[in-house]
Amino acid sequence: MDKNRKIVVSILILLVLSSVLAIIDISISMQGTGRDAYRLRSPDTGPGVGIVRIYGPIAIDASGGGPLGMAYGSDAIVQRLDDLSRDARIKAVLVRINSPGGTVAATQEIYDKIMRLRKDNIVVVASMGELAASGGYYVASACNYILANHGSITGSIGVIAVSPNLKGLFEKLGIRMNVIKSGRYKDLLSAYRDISQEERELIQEIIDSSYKKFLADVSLGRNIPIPEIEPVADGRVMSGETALRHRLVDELGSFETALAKARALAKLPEDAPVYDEVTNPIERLLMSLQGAMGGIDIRVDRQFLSNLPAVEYRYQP
Amino acid sequence: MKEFLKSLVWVDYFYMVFTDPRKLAAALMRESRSLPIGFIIPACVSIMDILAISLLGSQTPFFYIKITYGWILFFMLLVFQNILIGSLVDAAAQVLGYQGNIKNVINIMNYALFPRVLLLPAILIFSVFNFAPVFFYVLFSMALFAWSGAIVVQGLSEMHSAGLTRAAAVFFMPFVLVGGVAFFAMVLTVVSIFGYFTA
Repeated sequence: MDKNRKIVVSILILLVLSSVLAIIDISISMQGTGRDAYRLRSPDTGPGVGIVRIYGPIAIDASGGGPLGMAYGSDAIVQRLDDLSRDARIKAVLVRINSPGGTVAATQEIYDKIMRLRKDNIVVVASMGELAASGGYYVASACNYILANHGSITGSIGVIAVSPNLKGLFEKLGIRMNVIKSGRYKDLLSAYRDISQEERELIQEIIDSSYKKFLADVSLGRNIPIPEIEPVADGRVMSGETALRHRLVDELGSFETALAKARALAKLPEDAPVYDEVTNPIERLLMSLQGAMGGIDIRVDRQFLSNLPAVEYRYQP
Repeated sequence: MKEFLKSLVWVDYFYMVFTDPRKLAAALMRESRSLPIGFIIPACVSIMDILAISLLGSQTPFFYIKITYGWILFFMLLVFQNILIGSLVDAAAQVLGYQGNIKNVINIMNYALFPRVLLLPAILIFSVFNFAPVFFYVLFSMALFAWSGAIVVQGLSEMHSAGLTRAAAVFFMPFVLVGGVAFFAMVLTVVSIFGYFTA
């Protein structure tokens, strides 16, 4: 057989193989056991519910974006909320939270963005996963309606700043730090010396101010007077059931229940489309590559890595 | 016919579809036994098209009906379409002073459909990676339609020993005429219906 005929026969074999693969693919997807579960079958165009996921510690991405130009951290969440608010199809947003909270500024940015969505008449519903404590609850409180699972850990309304005191260890090892500073408080919260009373008061002032803001924002978001929140706003964590008793959440229910609630509040039909975050495998691949190229997992707590003291709305057992 | 199939000359026709449509047209005109082989192509295209479209959306058990019997219907429609367009193209060629040969025109049109079988492997890749398969289906369909059109035009050019422009005129004239008549008929229908209700 000459070369030309071999080429044609190869094409014909490729076609037969493609047909077999296509039939297998279609048969598997018909059984609903294959990629069908997460595959975009046909373009959704109607009004629906957008999903935003807040997983892990909340912090502003220090690098301002990964090597592939994709934002992550609180910037990515704010960006996602912004994209949804511009999308004419989005009538409701479901915020899925599984977070112990995070830095004050990052949490407040997300809170503010959600409040802006509410002002634009977009219904925002929060669904708590295993944990939505401190900053996680702060974000949830901005939503129109909050659902928690019976066993979700929530609450922890409060502010914390933790700094290690390694003075004893340094002395034991004979290490001394040379510090040249412009002002007496420039090395506030240094790990190699004790904190003075004045310094403690300075930090306490920040903590108190952030705490007041936390209370005021929860009060605003939940429409509950501050004196009613204060008794449980002492940093305690609580189950979803207890939170419901204290009116910190509106209902007990799963993610599916929250989705149904979002549709109902937005007056959408029961089968209104759901616009989830990245479903495209290629985009997922790019995001994982970004994590790998940055040398970190995007879900790793970056504050922990850099070991800098920070004031946080965070549940820290 | 058995000898013709054994000789594997028909394989060369498929090769020439991609490499040299003029040579293909000349070969098809010389060999009358190429005509029945040519009808295998619309059949293959029907199956491939049904599979490619099925990859784009979620399927019900109706898919098995489509792939068992639906392709026959699709095949008949394709053949009917080729005969209809072939007749019109042949008529247009005669109007422009060329000798008519509808059998050759239909034969060329059948072979010109062959590139369309490549739609399935292309869409399969985009479907597996879930990377805008609908968009690429539309894009590739348009590109392959243009490719098929180009093969027919070159085939007509070879068949009538005419320049490419004249051959393109022969090919597109029926579309322009039928399109114009259809549009005019639609306007007249709308005017008549409107007149009926307002009179």
